[in-house]
Amino acid sequence: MSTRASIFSFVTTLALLGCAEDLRGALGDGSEGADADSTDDDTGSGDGGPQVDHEQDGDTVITTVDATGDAVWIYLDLETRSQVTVADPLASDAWDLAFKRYDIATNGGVSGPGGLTVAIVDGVGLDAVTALPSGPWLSDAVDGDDTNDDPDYVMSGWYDYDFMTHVLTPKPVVYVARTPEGNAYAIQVLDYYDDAGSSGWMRVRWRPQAG
Amino acid sequence: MTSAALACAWVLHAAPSSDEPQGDDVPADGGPAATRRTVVVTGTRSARALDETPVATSVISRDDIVDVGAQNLAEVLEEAPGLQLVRGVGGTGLRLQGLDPAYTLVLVDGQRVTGRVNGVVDLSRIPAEDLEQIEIVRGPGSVLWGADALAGTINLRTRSSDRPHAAEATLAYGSFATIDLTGRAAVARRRWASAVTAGLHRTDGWDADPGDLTTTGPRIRQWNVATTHELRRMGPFSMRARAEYLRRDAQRIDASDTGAVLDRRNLTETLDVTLTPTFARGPSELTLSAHASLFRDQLVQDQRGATQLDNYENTVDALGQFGAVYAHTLGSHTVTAGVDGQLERLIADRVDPGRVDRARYAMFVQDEWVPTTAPRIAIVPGARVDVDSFFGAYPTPRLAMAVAPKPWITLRASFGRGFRAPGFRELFLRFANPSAGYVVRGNPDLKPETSWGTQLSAEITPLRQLAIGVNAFDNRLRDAIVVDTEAGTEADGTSLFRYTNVGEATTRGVESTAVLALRETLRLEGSYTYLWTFDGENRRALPGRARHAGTAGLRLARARWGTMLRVRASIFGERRFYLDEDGDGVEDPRDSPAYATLDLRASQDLLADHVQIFAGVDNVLDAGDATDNPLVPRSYYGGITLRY
Repeated sequence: MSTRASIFSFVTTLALLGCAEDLRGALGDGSEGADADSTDDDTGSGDGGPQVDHEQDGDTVITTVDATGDAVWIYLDLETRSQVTVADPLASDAWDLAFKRYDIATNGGVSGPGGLTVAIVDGVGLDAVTALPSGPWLSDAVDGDDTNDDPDYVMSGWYDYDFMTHVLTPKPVVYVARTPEGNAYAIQVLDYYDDAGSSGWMRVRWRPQAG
Repeated sequence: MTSAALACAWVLHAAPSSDEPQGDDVPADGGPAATRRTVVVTGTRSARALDETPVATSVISRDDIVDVGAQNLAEVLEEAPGLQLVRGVGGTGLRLQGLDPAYTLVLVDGQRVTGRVNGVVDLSRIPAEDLEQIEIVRGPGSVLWGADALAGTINLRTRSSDRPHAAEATLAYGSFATIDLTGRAAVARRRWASAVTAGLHRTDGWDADPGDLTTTGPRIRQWNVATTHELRRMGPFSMRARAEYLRRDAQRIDASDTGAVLDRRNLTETLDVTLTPTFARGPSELTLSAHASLFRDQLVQDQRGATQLDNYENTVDALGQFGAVYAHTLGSHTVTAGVDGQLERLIADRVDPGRVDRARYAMFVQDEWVPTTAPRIAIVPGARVDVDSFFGAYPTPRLAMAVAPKPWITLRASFGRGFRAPGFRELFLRFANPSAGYVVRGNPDLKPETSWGTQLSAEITPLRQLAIGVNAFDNRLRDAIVVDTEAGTEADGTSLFRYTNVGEATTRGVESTAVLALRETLRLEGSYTYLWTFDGENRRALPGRARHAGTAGLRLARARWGTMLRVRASIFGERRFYLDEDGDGVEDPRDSPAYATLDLRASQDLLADHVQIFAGVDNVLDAGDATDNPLVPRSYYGGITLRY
């Protein structure tokens, strides 16, 4: 056994003597143009909150959410168009939607006390939704029989997943949400990637939905 | 050319080469060239004449490597019969009998090569200037060589020196600012020989689609140096020692599927030291070997305009091998028995734990029984047991036979088992992709992948000038390691992908070759391969395999003028790929069209062989595309070789 250990040590020593320079420090200065920091948000006017940014697009709003954190939910209030800080999401009706990576939680059902409900209009884009759907009106539910342990978010069906490339592509589906305040909004996810190709940058297009 | 070499026509490349002295492989004692017989070791793990070895072996000689002007192993094998090169993330790999590169064992002087990336030993990394002979044995070879020899074994034998003094240098310049500069100096005396070889290779790389930011062929800076020292016939004792260092810096620009532009750089180093003492006395021979090998690869990935996908990965794969092979001839039996030991250590960022050791020990025995030499019959049963620190004991038997009913025909058959040991990553990978919410985990309980392989071959020399070879094969790969995408979830809810032994593949086909050699002037060669494959897990053909493939070659030489023209061509039929093109979660078949490649090369010797000038065009037809078939576009080169 000690022979084996000494042979391993020998080859490891050889490894450490490797002639080439260590490239560990090469990152960040070899690229063309400066690397944007993930918190340095240049997607719009900078209005909406530290991780949220809005652009007006006719009668609709395009909101970009920095949902790149693995463990941080970004809470959004649609009425005020602003990011809100929530200490306990299960005790607050100040928020409507929350984003973390590709998950979208709504303030209703198991996710919050706001009673937010969602109607799903499948197969269409935002512009095709002209009236309040008849329902059914659903909310986030306890985890059902699926491959993950997350709650069954009512808005979880926004993407197609490519098993080969692991890329998430938004589907043509519109969610109409009735907020705790009683207003209705039509929402469609546009993208999950920013211009540099980084993931976790949720882009949603939405507008108030008259009924 | 001798009919002995022609007898193994299967071996297109081994067949006729000119009788004019080339390189330094002519015996120093001035033995007549006609007595030169090609000697192979890969099929039996001891030296055998090519025409008498009971295990069918294809040989590519030094002359062939020089003739085609290859700078690296991938270029040598490019248009060789029955082989298909595949170019991917891990570099250029060899697909033998329809099985992926992971299932072919690559050896240098009988020592396994480390540093597989995605299962691939990058053949374009291995320089050609120090290769004397390439031996390819098709079908399972685990009985002698252990893991990874399922589809076949490719053994690269490095050059030895026999001339008192020899020196050579080659400089070539070509398209994409490609420069190859290689040199070799060797001395030999009666009892010893020494040689130093060095090479420098650079290219700007190339781009199949100039309309985007990405590149297709990497920009490369590579240099390597090797030295070989031999002691010869000191009584019963001989010894060979070799050391080689190689450093390759490859840079390219890739785009991710999410649109990110990534500058990627791989800095790869390999260091190999091999010591092989041999004791031979009368009918017995003992060969010992000790080998240390180190592979280090540093990958730097720099995302443009952001840092999310920035990545640095350092991988160190260190391998220590030792072996002893004893061969003894007693009457009609030659018994070969041996032991192998292998200690490997992997240090990598993506495995958990970050440092893994493994050990494998093996013993094998083989009896080559030649009950009669008129006609010559050889029956070779053999068996080997490998004991691995992860998966335990694994036995691999083989039975090989050769019959030469007439001097002009040799029939060979072999039936054996091969296995591939699960790789470190398959055992211990821990890779999280938070952007898509999954984790890939290695599986320490993986079993080896296994295969049964059958090879039936005939080599026929109906005329002195014509040699024909046919080989039918059947390989059944079982317990293949694949990723299970429904392995459950991690504690935090992310999906878990895990490696499991549920894959299956079958490949069957016929490889045929013909060589026609008319004196030294003209050699014509052709090959055709029919391949049928089946992926048992997905119930469809394996992707990217051409059912029909062929090669053709022409060598026209005029020794008196020192002029040579070499033409090599290959053709690959339609290849089927599977891609989910409509986004419905089901992969749709897509057929990639047939293609052909053509290489031309001409050379002229000057000053009694001391100077050779050469020029050539590779990929004359400009075949290839960026997605399915990233071949280097049409390129031109020219250069000069000086020999002393």
